[in-house]
Amino acid sequence: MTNQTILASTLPVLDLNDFQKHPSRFLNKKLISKAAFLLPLLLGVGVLFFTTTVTYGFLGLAAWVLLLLAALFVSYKEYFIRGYILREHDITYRHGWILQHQLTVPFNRIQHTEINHGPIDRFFNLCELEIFTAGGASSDLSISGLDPADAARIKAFISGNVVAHA
Amino acid sequence: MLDLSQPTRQSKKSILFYLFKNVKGLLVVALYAAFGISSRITTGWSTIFIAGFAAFALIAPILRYYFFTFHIAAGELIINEGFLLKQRKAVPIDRIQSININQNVLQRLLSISSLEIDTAGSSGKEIEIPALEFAFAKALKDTLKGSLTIVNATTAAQDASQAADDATNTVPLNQQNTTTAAHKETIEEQTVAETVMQLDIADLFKIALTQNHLKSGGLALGVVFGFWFQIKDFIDRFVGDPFENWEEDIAQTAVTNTIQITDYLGSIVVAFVLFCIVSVVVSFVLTFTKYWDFKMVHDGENLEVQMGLFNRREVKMPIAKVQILEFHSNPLRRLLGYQTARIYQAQSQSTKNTAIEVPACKPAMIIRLQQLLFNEPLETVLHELKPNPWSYMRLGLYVMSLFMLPLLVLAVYLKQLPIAIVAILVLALTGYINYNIGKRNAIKRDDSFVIFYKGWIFPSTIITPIYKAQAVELWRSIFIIRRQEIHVNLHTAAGSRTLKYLREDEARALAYGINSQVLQTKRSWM
Repeated sequence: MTNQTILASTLPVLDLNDFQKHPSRFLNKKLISKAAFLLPLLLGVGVLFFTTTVTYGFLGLAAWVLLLLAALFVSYKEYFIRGYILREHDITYRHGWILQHQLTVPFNRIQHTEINHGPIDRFFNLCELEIFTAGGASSDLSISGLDPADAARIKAFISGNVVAHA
Repeated sequence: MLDLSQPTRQSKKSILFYLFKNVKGLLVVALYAAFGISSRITTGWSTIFIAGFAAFALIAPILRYYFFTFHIAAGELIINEGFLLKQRKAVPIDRIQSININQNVLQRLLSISSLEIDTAGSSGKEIEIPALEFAFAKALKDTLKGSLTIVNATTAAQDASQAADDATNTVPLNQQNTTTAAHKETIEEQTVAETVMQLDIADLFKIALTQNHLKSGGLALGVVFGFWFQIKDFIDRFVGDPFENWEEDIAQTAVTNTIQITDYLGSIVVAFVLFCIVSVVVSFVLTFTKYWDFKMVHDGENLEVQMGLFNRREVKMPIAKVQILEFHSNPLRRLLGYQTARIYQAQSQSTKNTAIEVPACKPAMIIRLQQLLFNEPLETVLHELKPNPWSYMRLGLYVMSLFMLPLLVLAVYLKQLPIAIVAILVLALTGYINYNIGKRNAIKRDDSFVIFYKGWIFPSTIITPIYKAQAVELWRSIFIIRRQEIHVNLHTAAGSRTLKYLREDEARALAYGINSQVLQTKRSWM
């Protein structure tokens, strides 16, 4: 085996344009589930209408709409940040809009991988790929909103590599 | 070697051990029963209830002893326990990361000990066998270690040559040979034990004196308050609430003579002095009970630490599993030239921390530890990444102004100049401290190590070999993109370490560098 010195400057740098986007139905899922998550609060606004004056009711409604718009806006923005790059020996995942995270896990540090489907995910034909590393959850990677076929392919690719590295 | 092919029970003393544990719990129940139930339920029923509970507490330990068995089958350590809720735990022996023997006061009295088995990786895979004869526990540990070594010996040999391969670039040839030789030696005979460090009473005295007394004082306060709230109910029942008329008293004094801060100055000074004395006393008690008879032994592949006065703690850590070596200090300890070392190993996500703490390291000891754990010296030429100290100051000021600005507004509104001055001073101090923290913070790296320098008043140095890294995370909030700064999280099997506000291009280069070095190495990292 060769072991040449590697200088950081000569490394193939991650091209930030290389990020694979999630299928666009993931955006729909995110927006719908965010809205559904905020629906119970609308009940509270309804209560406000009946118990206090109409002015307070409308104020409450306005606040709720603002909250909804903010949540949807963040989800929308996040969708265009979220993405992964699968390379020969590692996987990089980027997510978050207000707090942007980018995590690279080399294949030879991966313990095992898992694919999860929730009921909502199944409805949208999506799934979640989880990649586990040793010793605590801080460096675990969970890529939600993948096409099941893609996820299975990525999982097989990673597992193949994991075996090759072990 | 023990024969563990058949299910084996713990020491019979475990019945006593469980019984004591139950009695402890039962005392609380009895107290509540005596004072709580008697008023509501008729005495006959409560007696039966308590009697039933007591009978259960007596029988349960026997059942627990009877149904707790462990054995080794097909390369797995299997534990069966429980009689109502049966549980079967199986841990593959080659997945075992560490085996520790612990003794608390009760276990010492019964001369038994508990064996903890930890597998890094998925959670819920930790096993504790709570009551074994001390000699048996040792033998079991050796047996498990023995079968572990057989499994690992081949891989270890490969690792050793691999390590040498990896090191070719950085280590001179002769040194490389010795490391390989050392590796082989340790595989063949592990019995050469040498005491690396021992603490005598004078050392303990110095350590206690240089503890973080504020922390001890806070701890004492917490314990006192916690205890107070626990016994408050009972006290109320007998003597009534001693602070019942507290508000009225205050109100009355306020009416009769206006409160002057000078009235309370005396008691404030007394309280402060009392707090200081208690803090130091607590520091001493904690230090002496925790580090009594501290001994660190190095035997080939393992680092073994024993300590404790009442609760004896014995940790054995395979050196290959060590992920992070940290040195912490505080102003007092720096005066004596001591630093506290913490050694972290790969561990699963349990609440129990298996890190080793070495309370007093002199400079020579620090170098020795590095040599011992990593087998390679740090290079003097280091590549350095410095964060932007102004960003630290800004963050500190933002957080502090959340509290101080309202206070300032309030002070101006109430025309209380001293309070306003205090608020401004606190803000200034926060900015100053945070700036200095940012100024000392740095990441340095050479070909084999990443070193984090953090903190200013309580400085710490964190050393981890690059090939032990698991993943590097870069993150930032949307607000610092403009400043081209980014935070770095280095994830290892023993936890994550963060440094904030680094320059983006440098941080990215560091992340890629670490990542590709991890990919190049085939040395096992845990």
